[in-house]
Amino acid sequence: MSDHIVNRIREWRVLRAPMTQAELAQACGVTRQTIIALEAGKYSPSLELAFKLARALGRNLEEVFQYAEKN
Amino acid sequence: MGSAQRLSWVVLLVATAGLLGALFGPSERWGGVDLGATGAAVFMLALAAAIWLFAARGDQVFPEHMSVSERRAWVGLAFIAVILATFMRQLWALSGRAVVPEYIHGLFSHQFLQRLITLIIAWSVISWLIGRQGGEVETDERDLRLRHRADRAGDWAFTLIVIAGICVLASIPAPLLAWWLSPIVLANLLIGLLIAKSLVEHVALAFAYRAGRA
Repeated sequence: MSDHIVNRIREWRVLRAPMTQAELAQACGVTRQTIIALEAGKYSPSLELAFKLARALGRNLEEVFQYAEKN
Repeated sequence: MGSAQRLSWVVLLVATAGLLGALFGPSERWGGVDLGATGAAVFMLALAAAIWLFAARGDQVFPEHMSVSERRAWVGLAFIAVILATFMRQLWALSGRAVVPEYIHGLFSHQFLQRLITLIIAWSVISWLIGRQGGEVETDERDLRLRHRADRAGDWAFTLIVIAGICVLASIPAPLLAWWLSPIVLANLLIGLLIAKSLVEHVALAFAYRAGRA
């Protein structure tokens, strides 16, 4: 059994705070490719970036990121 | 694939052919043509064409989904591979000499130094041109994390090569190693070790970007 971080970045970005990946990247000071990797679950952000993302999406940290157990 | 990308593949193929001719072309003329000199000239022309391509249509050379850092990683991989090939050729030429140079000015041939400096200048110019296209963030925490992983791969390669060197030194009789352990040859081998480490880092970085792409 292992743990992993799942996120709802795409959902909040598209549905609740319509913005492009490029706009979110600019708001957080990262490249668009990092947003793509985050949304695809291929990259776990640092705590600082996680807070920046949550703030840019207008959400609390736990609404965007969940620490899940994976069997 | 856009026209700029097709053109960049043509430039890459021409550069590879030129480099092969320059490094491994026969010493005697072939059909009246000096393959070594012709290859070197073709390679230089391809290098100039690559710089022009990045200056004029740089934003179209790589696929749009690649970040500035990933583009630089692939360019770096190509240049470090060329530098290693050029260096191996220089080492091969050194091995054919009856007398090994004894002093520092004999460490590299004039031709090798000229090529090395040209390659480093071209690499720097192309890296700068790639950065000029961005207009956004060039490097972020994900790039730094991938670079850190690539550095670790380079450290592992370095350690393995050193261990292999120790095994060779311990298992081969000293008289057979006399040529390899002369100061100038040893200096060349250490330089080769550093270039090989850098190549492993660039390979690891470029493929980490590729693997991490969604």
